[in-house]
Amino acid sequence: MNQRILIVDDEAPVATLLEHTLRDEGYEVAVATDGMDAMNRVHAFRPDVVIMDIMMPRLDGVQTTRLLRRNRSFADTVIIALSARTDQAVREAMNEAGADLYMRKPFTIARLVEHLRNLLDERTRTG
Amino acid sequence: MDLIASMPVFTFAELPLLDWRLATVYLAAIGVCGALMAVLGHVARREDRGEAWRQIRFAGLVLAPTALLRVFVEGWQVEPRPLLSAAFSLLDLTLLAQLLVAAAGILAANTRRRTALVLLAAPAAAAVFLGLIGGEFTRPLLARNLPAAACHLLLHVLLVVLLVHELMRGLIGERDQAAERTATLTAERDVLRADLGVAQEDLAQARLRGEQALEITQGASRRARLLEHLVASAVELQSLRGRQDLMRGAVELVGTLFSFRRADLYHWTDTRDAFVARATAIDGEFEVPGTGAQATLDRATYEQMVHPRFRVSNSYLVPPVSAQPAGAAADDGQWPPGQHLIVPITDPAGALHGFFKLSEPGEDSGPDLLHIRYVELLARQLAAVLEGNEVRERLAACRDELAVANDRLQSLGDLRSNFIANVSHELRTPLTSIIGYSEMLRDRGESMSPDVRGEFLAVIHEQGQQFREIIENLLDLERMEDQSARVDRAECDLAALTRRLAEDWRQKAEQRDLDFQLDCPASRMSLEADPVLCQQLLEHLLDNAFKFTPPGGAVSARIFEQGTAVRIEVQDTGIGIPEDKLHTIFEQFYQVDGSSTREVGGQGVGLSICRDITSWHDGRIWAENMPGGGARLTVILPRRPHVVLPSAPASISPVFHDPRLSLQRLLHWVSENLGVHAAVLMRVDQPREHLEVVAAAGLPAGQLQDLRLGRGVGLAGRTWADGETRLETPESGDVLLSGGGPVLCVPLPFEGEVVGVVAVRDRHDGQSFGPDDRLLLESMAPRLVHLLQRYESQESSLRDFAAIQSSLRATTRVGILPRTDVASVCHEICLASARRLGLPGADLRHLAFALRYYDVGLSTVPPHLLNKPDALTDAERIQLERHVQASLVTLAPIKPPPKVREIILHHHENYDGSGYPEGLAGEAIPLGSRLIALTDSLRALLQRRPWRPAVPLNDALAEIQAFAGTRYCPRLTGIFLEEAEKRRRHIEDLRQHADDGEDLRQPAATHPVQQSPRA
Repeated sequence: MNQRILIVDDEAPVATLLEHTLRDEGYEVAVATDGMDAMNRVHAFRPDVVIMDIMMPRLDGVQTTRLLRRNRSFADTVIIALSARTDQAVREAMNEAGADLYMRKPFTIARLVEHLRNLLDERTRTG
Repeated sequence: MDLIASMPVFTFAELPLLDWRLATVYLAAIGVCGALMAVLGHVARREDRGEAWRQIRFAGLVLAPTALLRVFVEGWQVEPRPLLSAAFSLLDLTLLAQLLVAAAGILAANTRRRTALVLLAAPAAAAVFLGLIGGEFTRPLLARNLPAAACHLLLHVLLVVLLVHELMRGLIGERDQAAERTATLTAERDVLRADLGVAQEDLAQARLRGEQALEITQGASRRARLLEHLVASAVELQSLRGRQDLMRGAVELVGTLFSFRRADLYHWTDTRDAFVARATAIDGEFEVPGTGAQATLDRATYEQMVHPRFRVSNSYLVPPVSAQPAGAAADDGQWPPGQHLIVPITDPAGALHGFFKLSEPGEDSGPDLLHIRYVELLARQLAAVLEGNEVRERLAACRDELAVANDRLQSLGDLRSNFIANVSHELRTPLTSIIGYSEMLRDRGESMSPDVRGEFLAVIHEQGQQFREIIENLLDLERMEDQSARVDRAECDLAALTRRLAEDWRQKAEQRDLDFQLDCPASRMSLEADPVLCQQLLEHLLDNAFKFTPPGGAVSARIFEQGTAVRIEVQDTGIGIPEDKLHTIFEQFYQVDGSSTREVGGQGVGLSICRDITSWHDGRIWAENMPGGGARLTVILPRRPHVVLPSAPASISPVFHDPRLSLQRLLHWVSENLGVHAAVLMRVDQPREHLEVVAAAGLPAGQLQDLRLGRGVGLAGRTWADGETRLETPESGDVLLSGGGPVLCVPLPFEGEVVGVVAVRDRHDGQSFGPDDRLLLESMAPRLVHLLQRYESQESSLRDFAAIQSSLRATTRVGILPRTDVASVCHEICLASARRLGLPGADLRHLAFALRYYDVGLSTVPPHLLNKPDALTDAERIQLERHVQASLVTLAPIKPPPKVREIILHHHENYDGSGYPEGLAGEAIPLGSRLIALTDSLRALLQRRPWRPAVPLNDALAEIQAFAGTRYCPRLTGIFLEEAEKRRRHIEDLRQHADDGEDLRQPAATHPVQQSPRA
C-alpha cells in the first residue's frame, strides 16, 4: 500500500507543486489549505507524513503540529515543517511542538524527497 | 559858700516834732531800702541785664552806706554840720534823680511793669513823703525861712514833675509801640485773611475734585475687582476637567460673581436641535437641573428669545412671557419679575455652544451694561475652555501615544529582527514557487504536456511579479525612512486624482470578488500637497482595505471636504483590528496577526507609509473598528499648510510622536481663542543669543523658516529685552511682524528670565486689541512656557533616542550579514580559546560583546574598497583603517564598557607592531584584540570573496600559522589553531551545506525521532 502524505500549505502554487511531485514519486497525496482544514482531514486520511507550512490563516503550523502530537494516533506520524520563516524562535517553537525535520523554503525537490525517504525508512526500522 | 549857706540846712536836733530815735529808724529804713534795691538790682541784672536795673543796683549800693553814714553823722553831731548836711542833701537828690531815671527806664523797657512800679513807687513815695513831711519843707516854713521853703518846694515839685514826666514818657512810648505792633499785626492779619480766602477756595475745589476722584476710583476698583474675579474664575475654569465639572463651575461663578439668585446653563443636546439645562445654580449653590419638558428648550424658542429688540451688548434681556410685546424692559432701570438675561456662549469663531439664562438679580435694577459685558467675557472664556478641554484630551491622547512609542522603543531590537524575519519570509514565499516550478521544468520539462508546462510558466511569472511588488514596497519604505522623500507641494486636485485611480480599484475589487463603493465629489477638490505622495497614500489605503477583506465583502471609500480640511475614509468588512492594536498598526512591519498565522501577504509597510505621508502634510490618520465588523481608516489633510516648523533634528524617526505638534496645536488654540488670523510663538535659543520661531500660524512660511532675531531687534526682540507687553504697529523694517495691523506681543517669563515671546495680529472682526485681549494672552503665557520647556526636554531626549536608534540599526544591519554559520563557528573557536586561557567571566563577556560588534564601522567604508582585490592606495588604506574608530563612534550611544572599546580599538594591531591604529606590539596589545585578530582572519579566509572562492580549511589554518609571531601572537595562535582543529568536522559540514536545507541539530533529546537524516 502506498504511503500517504498530507500537504498543509495555504500557498496554492507550492501545494500544487508538492502534490504533483510527490504523486509522481508514488505517494498518495492530499492537500489541506490551512491548519484547520488539516485537522478536519487527518482522521479520515491517516497520513504517514505531514508536510506542514507554518504561516497559515486560522490555525498555524505550530499549533496544528501540537494538536496532532497530542493525539496518540499521530504520535508516530512523520511531520516535516516546510517554511519560509528562518528565525530561530519559530524553528524552536516548531521543534518543541514535535516536528521531525525543519526545511527552509525555497527548497530543492530532490532533497525533500531524500529526507522524506530517510525519515520513512527510519520509521519502518524502529516501528 | 553862699549857695551852701542858702541851702536848707537841718539836723534831727532841730526837729521839734521828732526825736532822734525816730530819725534813726527812718534812716535805717532808707538804708534797708537801699540794700534791698541793691539785691533786687543784682538779681534782676542777672536775669535780663537791663540798663535800668543796673542803675537801681548802683543807687542801692550808694544809698545804703550813705544812709548809715548819715545815721552816724546825725546821731553824733559831727561838725561842720552845715557842709556835711549840704553834701548829704546833694547826694540825696542825685541818688533820687538816678532812681527816677532808672525807674522810668524800667517802665519803658520792662514788660513786668506792674512789679517795677510797685518796687519803685514805694521808695519814691517814701522819699517824697519824708522830704515834705519830714521837715525839709515844713521846717523852713515853720522857721519862717521862706526862700528855703520855696526852694524845697520847688525842688520837690520838680522831682514829682520829673517823675511823672518820665512815667508818662514811658507809658506813651509803650502805647506807641503797642499801636505800631497793632498796625503790623493788623496788616499781617489782613494778608493772612486774604491767604485764608484763597486757601479756602482751593480747599473747596480740591474737595470737589476729591469727591469726583473718589467716585471714579470706587468705580474703577469695583471694575478691577470684578475683572480680577473674572480672571481668577477664568483660571479656575481652566483647571476644571470634564464637561460637566466645567459647566457646573461656570454657573456657580456667574451666579455668585454677578449676584443672580438663579443661573442656568443650557447646552446643545446631542442632536443639536434643542438646548438642555446642564447645570443650575441657586444662590451660588449648584443644583442638578430638573429633567423633562422644563429643562429643554427647542431651537425656535431660543430664536424667539434672542430677538434683536431685546438685545443689550451681545446679550438679550428677555421680558416675562406675559409682558413680551412691551419689550425693552430695562429702560426704566427696574428689573421686572420674570425677566431674564440670556448670554449666548459662543467661541471666537462664532459657533454657538449654548447660553446662560440668568434671573432674579441681587439688586432691583439688575446688572448694568458693564456687568453684562463681563458675563459675556466669561461666556467666551467658557467656550474657549470647553474647546481647550477637548484639545487637552487630544493632547493627553498624544501623550499616551508617545508612551506607547517609548515602550515600543524598548523592544526595538525585537521589532528589527521581527522585520527581518517577516521580510525574509515574504521574499522566500514567491521564491519558493519560482525555484520549485523552474526545477520541475528543468528536470522533467520534456515529459510534460505543453498545457502543464504553460501552467508552470504562468505560476513562475505570477510569483515573479509578486516578488517584484515586494521589492518595490521595500524600496518605498527605504525612501521614507531616509526621509529622502521631500514633500513637494503643489496645487493638486484630490477628486480628479481619485477618479483617475478609481478604475484600477474597481478591477482589483472585482478580482477579489469584493463590492466596491466610491463616493467622491465631481467638482474640484484642491489641496496644497505633493501629488505623488497623495496618490501613494490613496493606493496604500485602498490596498490595505482590499487585502483585509475576505471575498464577498465590501470596501467603500469616501472623500469629502470638511471645513478647511479634506477627509478620506476607507471602510471595509474585513476582520477588523483588535482594540489594543488600533494605535500600533501604523508602526513599520507590523501586522496584526503577528506571530505565525498569516492571512494576507505584505510586510505591514503600507500603513506606516500612510502615516508618514499624512504627518508630512500636517494631517492626521487613525483607525477604528466599525460596530458591524470591519475597520475604518480615516485621514484628514489640511488644505494648506498653516504651520511652519523649525528645522527638525535630522535623524528623528517618524516612529515617535513629534512634540512640535503639541506646540502647533497650542498655538492654534491661542489664535482661535483670541480670534486672530496670525500668531507666532518664539523661543530664546540655548546660548540665549537669538529668538527663533517655534510655531506660527497665518504668516507667510518663507519669511519664517530658520529666522533668527537678535535681542532688541524688532518688536519681538524688544519685548524679549525688557520683558514688557507691547501693543503697537511694528516698523516696516520688522522682518517678522510687519505687514499687518498692530501687534500684541507678550513675553513668556520663566524663573525671572524671558524664555520666549508670543505675538498675535489681525483680529478676525477687524477690531483693534483691547485690555481684555492682553489679559487673555498674558494668562496663556504660563501654559506656553510650560509646553516650551517640555518641548525642549523632549527634543533633547528624542535626539538621544535617535542616536541610540541609529546605533542599534547599524549594529543590527551589520550583525545580520556576517552571522553566517562559518562566522559563528569562528566566534565559538575564539571564545573556547579564551576559556582555555582561563579568562574570568567578565572578560569573557566583554570579548563576546566585542566579537559581535568589532567591525560595525565597516559600514562606513565604501563597498568597492572592501571588495577590491588589488592593493589599496594610501588614501584608500587610511579610509579603510579609519573603520576602527568609526566602530567606536557608532557604538557610543549604547555605551559599551571601556574594556570592550579597548578590544575593538586594537583588533587590527599586529604582534610585531606593524598594525594600526597605534602600532602596539607584543603583550601590549589587549588579549581580546589579539584573539579577535585571529578570529577575523580565519573567518575572512573561510568566506567567499568576490575575487576568490572560500579558502579550504587546511590552507586557511596553514596561512594563519605562517604569520604567527609577525601578525599574530604565537602563544595564542597555537591554542586557537588547536581549537579550530577540534571543530574541523563541523566547519567542513557547514561549508558543504552552506546554502541548503538544515536539519534540526538539537543536542537535547526532546523528541523520540532525533536522528539526522544524513547520519
